[in-house]
Amino acid sequence: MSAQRSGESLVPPPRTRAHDASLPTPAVRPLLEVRNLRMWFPIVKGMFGRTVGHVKAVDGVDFTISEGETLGLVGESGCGKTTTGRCVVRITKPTGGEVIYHTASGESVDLAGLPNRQLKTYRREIRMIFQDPHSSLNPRMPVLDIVGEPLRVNGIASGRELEDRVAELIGKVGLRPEYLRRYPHAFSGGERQRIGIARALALDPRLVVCDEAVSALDVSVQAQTVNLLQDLQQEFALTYLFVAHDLSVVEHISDRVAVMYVGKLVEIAETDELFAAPLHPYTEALLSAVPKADPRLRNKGRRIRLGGEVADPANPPSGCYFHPRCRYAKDRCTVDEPALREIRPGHRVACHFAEELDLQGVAVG
Amino acid sequence: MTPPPDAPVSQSATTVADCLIEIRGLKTHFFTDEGVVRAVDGVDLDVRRGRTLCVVGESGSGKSITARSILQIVDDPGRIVAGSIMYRRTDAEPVDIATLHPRRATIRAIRGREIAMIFQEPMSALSPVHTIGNQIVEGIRLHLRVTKEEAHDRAVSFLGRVGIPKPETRMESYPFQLSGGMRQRAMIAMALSCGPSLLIADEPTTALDVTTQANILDLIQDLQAEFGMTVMFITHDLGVVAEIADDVAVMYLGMVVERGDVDAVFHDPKHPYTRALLRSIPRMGARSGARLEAIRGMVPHPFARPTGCPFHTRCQEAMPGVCATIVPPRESLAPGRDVRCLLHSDVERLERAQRVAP
Repeated sequence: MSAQRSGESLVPPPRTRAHDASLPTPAVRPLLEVRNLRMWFPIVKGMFGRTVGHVKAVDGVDFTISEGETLGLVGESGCGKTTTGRCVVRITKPTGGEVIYHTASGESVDLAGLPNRQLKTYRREIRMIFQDPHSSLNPRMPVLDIVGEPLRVNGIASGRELEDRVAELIGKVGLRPEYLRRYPHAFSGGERQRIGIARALALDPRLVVCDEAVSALDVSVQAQTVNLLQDLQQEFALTYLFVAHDLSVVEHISDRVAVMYVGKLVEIAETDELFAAPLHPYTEALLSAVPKADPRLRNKGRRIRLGGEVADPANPPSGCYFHPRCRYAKDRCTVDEPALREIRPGHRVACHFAEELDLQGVAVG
Repeated sequence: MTPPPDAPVSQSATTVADCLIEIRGLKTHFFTDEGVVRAVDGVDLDVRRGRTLCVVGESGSGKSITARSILQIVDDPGRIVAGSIMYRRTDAEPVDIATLHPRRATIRAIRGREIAMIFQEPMSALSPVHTIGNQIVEGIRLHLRVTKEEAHDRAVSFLGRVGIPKPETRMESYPFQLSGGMRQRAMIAMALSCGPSLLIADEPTTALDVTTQANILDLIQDLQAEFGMTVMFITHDLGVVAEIADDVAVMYLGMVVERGDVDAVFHDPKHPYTRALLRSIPRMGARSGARLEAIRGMVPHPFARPTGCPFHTRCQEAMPGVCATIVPPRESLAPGRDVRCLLHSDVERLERAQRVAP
C-alpha cells in the first residue's frame, strides 16, 4: 500500500447520460408507492411466547417515489426510518400495508405480501447500501467475491466474464481494478463504502435504498461519496430512497424530503419548500437544531430546543405523538390524532394547526 | 482578522498565565508489530483559561490521542516519546504532564479531579454492572474528603444540574436503562462532580441525534459559564465548532496545521486543508444542486505517511518539489494564530537550512 493509493481514487468524471434517449424529461412515472405501511414487532413474554404488545416501528406510512428522483427520509434514531427502508427491500416482511413496485415493463406488483421465491426478480432491481462499511462487507471475501456474488448467484456472469464485470464496476465507483483480490481490511472507510456501492450496482438496479450511506464517513470523504452517488444516479438513471439523519446532506442530495416521527410521516414536501417553509413543529425543531457552520450566525434567529425524549413506539402518547414535546400543543393535540393532509400542492403535513402556525425555516444564504 | 464579538480575552494578551495547558512538540507514537504509528507527531497547542478550544480533524488526525496524552491514558503500545505538556494551575507550581508516570500518584490526583474527560460512547465509558449513582459517588469519594452521605448528595445535585429528571431515582439506574442522551448527561455529571478546571470532551455528541446534540452543547456551555471551566472539545463536525468554539486548532495526520480564533479560522482560513474542509461541507440553506467540492483522495494510511508536508498529496496548492521535501514549520501570523504551510513560509531560507543540516 503506498501513499499514492489515496491520490488515485478520484470520483469518476461525470459521463454523458447512458439513457438520454429514453429519458426525455424528468420522469413523473411512479416507481414505488408505499401505502399504509406497517411494521409492528411483537413484544413476547413468558415461556409460551405470549404477545403482550407491539413496537410500532412503522405505523401507517404513505409515500411515492417517482422514477429518477431522490426521496430523503429523515428523523431521529428510533423513528422507524431504517425499518421503512428495510421493508422496501424486503429484508423484513411488513406486517401490513402495500409496497407497490412498478416494473420497467409497466406492471405493478405488491412486494409487501410476496413470498420469497417470487421476490427474487425484484430483489435484483431494488438494492441497498448500508451504513457501516466495516460490518457490511464480509472480512473473509476479496472484493471480487463481494461485488461478484450477486452476479454469480443470479447466473449473470461467471469466470473471466465475472472478473471483467467486477473490474468495470469498481472502476465506476473510483477504485482501481488491481484491488480485486484484496480483502476489506486493506481499504479505508470511504473505499469500503465504494465497494458497498459497487455491490449494490452490480445487478443494474432501478431503485437503491441508501441507509445512512455517508453517515460514518469523514467530512472530506463524505463529499466525494455524495458526489459519486449523484454521478451514478445520472449515469444509470437510478432512483434513491436516501435514509439519513444528517439534514444538510439530505438537503443537498434529495428532490423531496419526508420527515418521520415515532413510526409515522409527519411531513413530506419538495426539499426547497420543506427547508424554507416547514409546516410541522417537529420539522422546525429539527432544522433549528442543526449547527450552522459559520460562527457569525451564532445566537442569530430563534433556537428551538426540544425537551424530553422521543416517544416510546411500544407505548406512544395519545393524540398527536409529538404533543408532549411540542411548543405549540393545544388541548386538541392530546386527544385527536392528526392525519397527513395536503396543505399546499405536493406538501403534506400531519398537524392540526399547520395553517395557523408561523414556523421558521432555514434562511437561504 | 476581526475578533468575535463575544471574545472575553483580547487577542494580543496571550501571556503564559492565560494558558492552562501548553503543549509543545508533543509526539505520541504507537509501537505496533507492523511498525511505528506516529499518531501525534509534533503538536503545539495552547488551551487558554476559561475558553473553549475546539480541536478539529478527520479520523486518524491524532486529535483523540492528543487529548488522551494530556490525561496520560494512552493505551498500549502507545507512548509519549517527546515534547512537553505544561499544566499551569493558579495555586501551584506548573507540572509537565508528559514526564509523569501514567500510574503514579501525581497524575492520578489530576486525572478526574482537575482534568476530567467525557467520551464519545457513554455505553463503553460507563460500567454496565454498576449503577450510575455508585459510579459517580466512587469518583467523588476518591478525590474529595467527604462522607458517603455528602458524596451521595453531591452526585444527586449534579445529576439534577445536567438535566436528568428525577435524579434521586436515576441514581439507582444502570446505564442500559437510560437513553443515549441521558447516558451522555450522566457521564457529564460524573466528569463535573469533582469540579475540574479543564473538561476534555472527545466527540461527546457524535453518536447523538441533532436535537439531543443541541441540548448537550447548550448544557456544556451553561456549565462552563457557571463553573468557569476551560473546555477542550474534540470533534470533526465544523457546524459544532462554529457554534461553541472560542479558539480552533485544525489537525491533520498528527500535526496542528492551523490555529486561531474561531472567526479567523472560518472567515480567513490560511491553510489549504482548512479551506478545503470548509468548502466540502454541505451547507443548509445554500442548496444549489451544485456538486460538493470534495478533497481528492483519502487520509493516508498511518504506515504510508507522505514525506514533507503531510497534506501535500491531496493539496490543490502544493508546490512541486518543495512540499514533498520540507516539513512546514510553524509560522506565527499573529498572537494565537499560526499555520503550518509552506505558502506562508520563506521557502528559500528553509531550503538553505535543509542543505546545511540535512
